[in-house]
Amino acid sequence: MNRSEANANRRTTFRRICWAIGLTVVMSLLWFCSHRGSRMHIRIDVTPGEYTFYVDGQRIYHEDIPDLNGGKIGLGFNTFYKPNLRLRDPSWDNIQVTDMETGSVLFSEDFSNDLSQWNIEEGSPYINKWEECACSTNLFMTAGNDSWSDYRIEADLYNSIESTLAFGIVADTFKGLLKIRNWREASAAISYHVDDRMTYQRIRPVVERPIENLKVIAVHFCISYFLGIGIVIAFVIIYFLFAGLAIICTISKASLRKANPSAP
Amino acid sequence: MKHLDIKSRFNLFATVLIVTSMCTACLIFSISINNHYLKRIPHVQDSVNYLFQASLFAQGKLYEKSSELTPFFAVELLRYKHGKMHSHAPFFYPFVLMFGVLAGKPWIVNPIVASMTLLLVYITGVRHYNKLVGILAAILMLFSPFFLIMSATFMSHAVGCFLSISILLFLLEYTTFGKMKHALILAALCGLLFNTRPLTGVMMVLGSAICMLFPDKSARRKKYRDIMIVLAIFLVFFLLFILYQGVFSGQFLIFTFGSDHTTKMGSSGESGGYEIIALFQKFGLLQKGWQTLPYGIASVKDQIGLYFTYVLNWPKWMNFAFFFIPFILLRRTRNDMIPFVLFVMVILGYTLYYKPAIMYGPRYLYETIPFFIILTARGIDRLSGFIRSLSLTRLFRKSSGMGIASWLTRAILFGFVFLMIYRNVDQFFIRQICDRKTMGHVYGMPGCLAELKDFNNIKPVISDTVNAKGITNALVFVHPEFEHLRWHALGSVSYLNRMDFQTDVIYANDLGDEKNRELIKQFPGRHVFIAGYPSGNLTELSREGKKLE
Repeated sequence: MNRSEANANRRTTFRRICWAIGLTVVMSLLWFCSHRGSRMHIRIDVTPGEYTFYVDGQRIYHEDIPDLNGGKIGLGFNTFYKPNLRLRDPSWDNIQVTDMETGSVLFSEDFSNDLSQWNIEEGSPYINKWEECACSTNLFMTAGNDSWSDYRIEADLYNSIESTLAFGIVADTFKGLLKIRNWREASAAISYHVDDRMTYQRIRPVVERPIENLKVIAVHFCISYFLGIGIVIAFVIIYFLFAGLAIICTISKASLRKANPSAP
Repeated sequence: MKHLDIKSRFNLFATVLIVTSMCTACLIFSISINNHYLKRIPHVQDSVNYLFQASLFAQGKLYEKSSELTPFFAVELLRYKHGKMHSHAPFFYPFVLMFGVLAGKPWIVNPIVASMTLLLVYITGVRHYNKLVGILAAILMLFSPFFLIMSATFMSHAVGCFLSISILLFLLEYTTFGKMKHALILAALCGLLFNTRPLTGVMMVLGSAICMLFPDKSARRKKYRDIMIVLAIFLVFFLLFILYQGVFSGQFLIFTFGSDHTTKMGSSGESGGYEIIALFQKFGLLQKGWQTLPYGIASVKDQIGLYFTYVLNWPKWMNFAFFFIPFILLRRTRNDMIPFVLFVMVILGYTLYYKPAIMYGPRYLYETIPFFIILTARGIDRLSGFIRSLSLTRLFRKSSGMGIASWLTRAILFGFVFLMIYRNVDQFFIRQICDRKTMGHVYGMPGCLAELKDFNNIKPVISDTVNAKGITNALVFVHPEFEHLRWHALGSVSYLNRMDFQTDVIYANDLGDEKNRELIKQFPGRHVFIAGYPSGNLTELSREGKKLE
């Protein structure tokens, strides 16, 4: 190899190392910016005659219902996209109902134990041995009682793959649910008469989170990229272990020969 | 043969044996899945319509005239607004399916196409990488649940996948040898892909044009002229696409493809189609600006998330780990970049399209499987080569035993890969109870083979009952017993209908007594039944459409 070829090789190696470092830095930045996932804070204020939906503090829907006094809270999953949903999948958490007059907590749920606080109206959720709540078909459950009035419902929703979730008020003659589909659409699902079917009134898509979703895509690639680096490192370590063993064997053999040159 | 790295007769014999075995295995697996689980019937609205159009082609027709009775026979996505009944899809896949219809075995088309895809994956690997990449890629493809399941269906993705690997092969040929004939074939393949999966076709031709900018130094010729020729030929196929849909609508700028809303009886025929402008709006390019981009990103997020889990059915993050290794090891070549660019282009394309349809898995990304598989095989090969090169470094060159260390490490690597494949086979294909902690928790994505049974709520109960009771010369109205099964009722049997009504049993939507009587009048002499779906309960009706006591 002449000098110019050697220089060219060095330049190529240097360029490749720069690329690798750059790529790893970009991936690391993406990872640190993205790995925490996304959270959506839901709030519903229910006062006699009206209710209001909020997402992350932003008021998205308000309606006056003269007959509305209050009612239970309802939590449901659309089963079309997730027929075998685990309750942990959509990651509802920290559900809390607060009396707006006194500030006292009427109800709280973090799904750490069982579902004894809930009335299962549809579906068959169960707690399995890993303490995860799962349901095999439709799920709609309610909690609280009809006498609740003038209260605030709050909950945290963590990102999920593909699901439609409904959350809201359930009274005798009224259902007011905030539906959030696949982290990008929220709509008010209103039914004035509780019967077998609810009448859905879609208002508008109000939650668009492209950055959050881009983060999730980035996390997918980042994790695999770093796992790829991990695999390379793991196999290099394995190689060096074998190589070390080989060197030890070679040295031992050589020293044995030196100690006993007449040995075969 | 010299291009396939076959140097001796023994090698030739071994290669032919391996490739033939793998293609045959692919054919047998996918036919078995189709036969045993999918019962040789279409399970998705798209498939029903493809089959309908294929049977029209087989009769030498482009469309069937529609009438006021058409809603009786219309399954969701069928178009009939312009007085012509036709499928919602571009022509190429129904055209391919036509050969199966003519042979009386339409279910065999996709398995054959899939085994040809496997063959092309092997050829591409061997020709443009090395023999190890070819064999590994073919093995990974053969045990990919996504690939095998889609190969067993009536969906157009199997043909799309075949075209995409062909595009990769001819793109690599062009960038390596720079011959015009490769560019011409490449353009035709992109055009055919456009007439199978339009958006994938567009993104693939754009990706190909980008890759053509970087041919091998020895092959460099008039690349800009070649790119223009490719785009011009692609335009011819685009015009063919416009012409085909113009035949239906009478207006060439009225789009009849794509899925839009459905009516109560599960037919979207009344919606007809939408103007080509709407297509650009869909891409977020006109009027609405980029309003749809957030939806597209969310949709791609879903598809990618499932792709990461499903494509090889290895542990979630492991699926893509080897994909990056050629880039991590700083030994990427142009041949590694080309499938990577095509992969990224398809993903980018679906970022501009907002429909998150998941069926048999993240299907919009299905055509990227060959690129993904080849890069994964390449990653394994590169890592193996890297380990071997360590023993040749100055540090170890003179030490004995380094070769053994290298061989042992590489044996562990390949052992690990085959362990992953075994895990996939055990978990997905052998177990009949799906592991819901990792898979199968999304509608439309089977968690294991057993979930394909009655997939998408389609099962041949009505036709089975009719056959079991030996009913002939009959008109059977099918009635969905649950609202969410509105298209499924007729969808489960519509493939048995012929529009010349020469079949022994004619199946029709139940549109209510009054309308049903109009259809009954059209078929004097036929017994009339009504069948519930999914129970399959069959009741005979009078000529007035009333239930007989």
